[in-house]
Amino acid sequence: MTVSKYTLVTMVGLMALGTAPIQADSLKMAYSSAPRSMDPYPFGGAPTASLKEHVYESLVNHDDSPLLAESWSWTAPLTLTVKLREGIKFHNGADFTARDVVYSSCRMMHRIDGKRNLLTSSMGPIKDVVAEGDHVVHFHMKAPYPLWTQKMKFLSILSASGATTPEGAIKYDDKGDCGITNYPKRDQFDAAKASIGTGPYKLVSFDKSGSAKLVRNDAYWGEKGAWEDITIRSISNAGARLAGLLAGDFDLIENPTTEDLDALNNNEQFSFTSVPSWRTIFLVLDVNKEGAPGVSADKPGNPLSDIRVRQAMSMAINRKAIVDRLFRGNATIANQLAPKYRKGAPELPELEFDPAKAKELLAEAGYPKGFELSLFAPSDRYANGSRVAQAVTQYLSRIGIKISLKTQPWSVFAKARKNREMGTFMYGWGHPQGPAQMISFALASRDKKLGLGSSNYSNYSNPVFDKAIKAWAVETDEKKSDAFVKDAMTQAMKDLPAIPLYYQHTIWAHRSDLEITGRQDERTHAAMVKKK
Amino acid sequence: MSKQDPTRLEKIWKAFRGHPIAIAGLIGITFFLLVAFFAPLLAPQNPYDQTQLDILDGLLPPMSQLGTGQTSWLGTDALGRDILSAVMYGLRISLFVSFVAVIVGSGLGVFLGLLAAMKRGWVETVIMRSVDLKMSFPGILLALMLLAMFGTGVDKVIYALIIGAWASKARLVRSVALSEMKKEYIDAARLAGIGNLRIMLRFLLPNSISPVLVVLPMAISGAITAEATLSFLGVGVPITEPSLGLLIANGNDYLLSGKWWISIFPGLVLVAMVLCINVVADRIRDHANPYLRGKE
Amino acid sequence: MLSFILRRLGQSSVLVLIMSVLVFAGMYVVSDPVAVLAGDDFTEEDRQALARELGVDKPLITQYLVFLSNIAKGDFGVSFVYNRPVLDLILERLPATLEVAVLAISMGLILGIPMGIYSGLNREKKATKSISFLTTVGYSIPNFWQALLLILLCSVWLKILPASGRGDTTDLFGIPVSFLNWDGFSHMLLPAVNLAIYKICMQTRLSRSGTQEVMYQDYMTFARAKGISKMRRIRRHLLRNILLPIVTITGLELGGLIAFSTVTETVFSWPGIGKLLLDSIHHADRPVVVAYLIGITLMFVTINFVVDVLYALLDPRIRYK
Repeated sequence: MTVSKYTLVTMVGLMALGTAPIQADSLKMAYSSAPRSMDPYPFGGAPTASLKEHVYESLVNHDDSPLLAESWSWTAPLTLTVKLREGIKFHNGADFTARDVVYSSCRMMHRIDGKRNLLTSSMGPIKDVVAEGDHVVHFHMKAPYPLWTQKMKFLSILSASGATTPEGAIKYDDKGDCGITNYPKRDQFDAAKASIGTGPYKLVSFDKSGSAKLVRNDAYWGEKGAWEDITIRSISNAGARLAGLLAGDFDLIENPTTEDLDALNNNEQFSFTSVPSWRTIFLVLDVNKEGAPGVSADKPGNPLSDIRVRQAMSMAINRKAIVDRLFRGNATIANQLAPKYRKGAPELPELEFDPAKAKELLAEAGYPKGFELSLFAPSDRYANGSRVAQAVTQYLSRIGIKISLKTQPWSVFAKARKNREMGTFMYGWGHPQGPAQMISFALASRDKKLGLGSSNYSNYSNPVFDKAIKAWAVETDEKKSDAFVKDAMTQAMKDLPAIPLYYQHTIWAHRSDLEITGRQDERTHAAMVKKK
Repeated sequence: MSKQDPTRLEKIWKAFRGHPIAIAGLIGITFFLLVAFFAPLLAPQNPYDQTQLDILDGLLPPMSQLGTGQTSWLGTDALGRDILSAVMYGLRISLFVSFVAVIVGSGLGVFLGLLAAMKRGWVETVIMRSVDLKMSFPGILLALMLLAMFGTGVDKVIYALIIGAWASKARLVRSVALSEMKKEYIDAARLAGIGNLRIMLRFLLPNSISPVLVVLPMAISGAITAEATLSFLGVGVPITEPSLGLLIANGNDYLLSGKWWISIFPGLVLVAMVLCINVVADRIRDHANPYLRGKE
Repeated sequence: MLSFILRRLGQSSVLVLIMSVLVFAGMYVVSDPVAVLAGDDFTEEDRQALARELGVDKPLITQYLVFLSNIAKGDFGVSFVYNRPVLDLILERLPATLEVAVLAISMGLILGIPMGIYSGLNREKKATKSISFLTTVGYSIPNFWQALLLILLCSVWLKILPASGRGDTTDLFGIPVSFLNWDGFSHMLLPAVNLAIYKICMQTRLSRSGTQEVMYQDYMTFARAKGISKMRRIRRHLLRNILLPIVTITGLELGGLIAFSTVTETVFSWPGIGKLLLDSIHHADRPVVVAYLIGITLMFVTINFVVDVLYALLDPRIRYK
């Protein structure tokens, strides 16, 4: 084989220089979907949050540790008192004080053009926000709301100097009027005019297609950002994203596909970092005794309402094979519905894999020949989602259940879920608000006052579970709260109205001269990227 | 029919004699049709039987051994599906879906196009404005509607493709038929008292169909790729019963990581099949064209 | 002619109305904006409140009538997802799609017609056989696969063209366009080629079959007998006669490219309206989808109208009553 002179020169050049060093202190990142706006409140979702966290900060950090807050405590059953960090300045030089927290709460509740912000739901049970002096804020609740200490991360803190505020204290109300008439509008945030936070980076420009440019905030109160400037682009196609990385357009990309990891492994210039995330992927089973949509057997009743059938289904699935083969180890076997490594999650035994015993259990339950089941899964929502659904189909088929797998785009799937048209479906739930939030929504009996059971598509109802979750919902003491979570989760894993499969990992592909610490909440932030 | 007339078979043979490429295409089509038809007997594995698949056999390169001891000649995909078997079964689905859709869709389109050209007036208006409507309606939304209303299934994909196929043919045929309608022989036929339907089928159809025949192979390959695209967008055939298109789309994810066999083999079969269809179609078209035939 | 135009205008309004009903119903069948937008931490009450604010809690008929009355006031609605006026969303993405579509169609015409005429005139030459083979291969490869192969070849292996995004833009009469500077143009190339390959093949085949038929018409023989030069014969007689199907197809294809370059725009992350449509369908963003498709219907109606008029000009036998 002949090597052309030019190739040789290039190769020698590369050997001498190694890979070209990363340019100055610039970081170019590609997100997998587009941030919607720099207005911090109207939109949920990881991309918007990822971007805005560069600019705005909240009282509590993404890992539940204090950030702009120094500490907090429940001074009354319905009052959380937060002590703020002192000496912090906004990008425009204004001091960060309790007034800004009240202002931000008002802006969060304020309806722009009659529409409320999607993140407002986290503020639901809050009755009043009161500043005491410059560095203490009291949150008064209508009902017990211990989750607020974690949900405070949704309340990005803006500077009150961004609007004309009344003299004296700002009086909070849940309409968000607060005597303020000229809140900055979304356009002003997107034009980098109103985007005044305390974060480690300042916004230079934001483009509606999801591109943004940021520069370091040299006056940042904490550890200074490692990058002088950051460019963020949004590329939804995974192949194109990876091609952009390989072509040198980006230093780091989000969510390469599992398949592409091999290509990265074989390339010295690039590598990847995989971090367990807070998203659990599980099967939801409708345990309604009357019957479940898409489930039919040769005897009356719903086979899924029999606990032995649910145990058999769980036992039939080889989670290790799914994790090892479909994810190349970039997923973690689940043994409960919250990630077992999530703070406050209980220690529970692994779930068994035993297809022979699964068959016996099915026979014992009166279905020796199995039964028929439509399994629904979103096709475009979770990494490897369609393949996992097919693997589950294989395993359940082997113990004799006749599975008809139906994958659908998320929009169609979400509607069918909301209308309760699916008896068995695959779902993924992130756990930014502690280990019990999901089961409180998805497995608890409906309780309007405590906000429980709104997404109970399993139609599960168990008094032991409900008792524990109701106690958890009002418990502000961390230790006691953890004990209730353990009781509830243990009961749920005994009954299996939902079968946990695995915990997703978030993966970043990047130049090999970068070191990525990663985050568990699926966000991509420059603070987790360092030069080696 | 008198004895001197050549039989139909002889006519067809006459069209192909002396054209080795077209004959090769014909053999190719026959081969693919046979493989598709007898796939259940020929394929080493039934890729639709979920109990036969094992993800532990996933992503094996060509010539690997499966857990069952069988050899997988063309390798496996992530789910442990033997690519050779999957291609055979996929061929079946792709051919079935696209042929049914194109034949029904084009037939409908040709009929409506001729009708529009003959009747003019409100009939033409309704037909042509429906064409406009269809052209403006995105296939993905249509496929999603069918999916949301009736669930996933091969038949829903066929409906979507039929609705996708008729409009362009109707427009094309109408434009040619309009020109034909002005020609003397139509007037002559009318004066001779020949009925409308007979004029349409006997005179208008043979003289207007040539542009449709030109695009027919394209329509078939178009239907195959349209089906593949729907699968790529997540609204195609059920993923447990992949067509060639879905196999290519699945393999797409592995193209950059060096697992070429998942996408390349179904892709090659698809291209080869369409190529065969096209050379044969070209020959038939050339042969059917009286001007060209005169030159031979 | 005037009555013809008026009649078409009347038909078009009915058409647009039918389209809006179809899309409204279609989106209702496919998805529920509340289900898509609501976070996992929305309680039942939160979801109901969201439905009220989006106006989707009312019966579908009421929603449609509200939509119509807003249109009458010139208000096309606000996107459920982006919370911005839909017209703004569509208009700011339109130039990106237009320039790629025009580039792709031009490539198709410039390469396709000469190749087609050449093939039609020289049926037995080797080059003709190669062209024929290449066109067949060209449209046998699914568009999305082609796109990936292009990225693999040009961006990953050869590293000569960027794989995604729009790159730098230059303002032309206040509209950002890509084709006026190299960075932008280089970003345009792959998506345009991806769209053009199919068009080139199609134009080649169309003009080839047209040429073949026309070449054996009596008037061509006559023209040759009269001693008219070959180039003149091609220009005056051949081109004029094969243009009919080409005009029809090109008009519709251009419309198709503008309206539904969804796959290409998705794979190359090209921020055009095709991607907006796909994203909006998937995000249950009905206001965007409805406004978009009404716009597209209008466009096709116009294209078809223009094509029909051109027909009348090109083929004197067709006249409008």
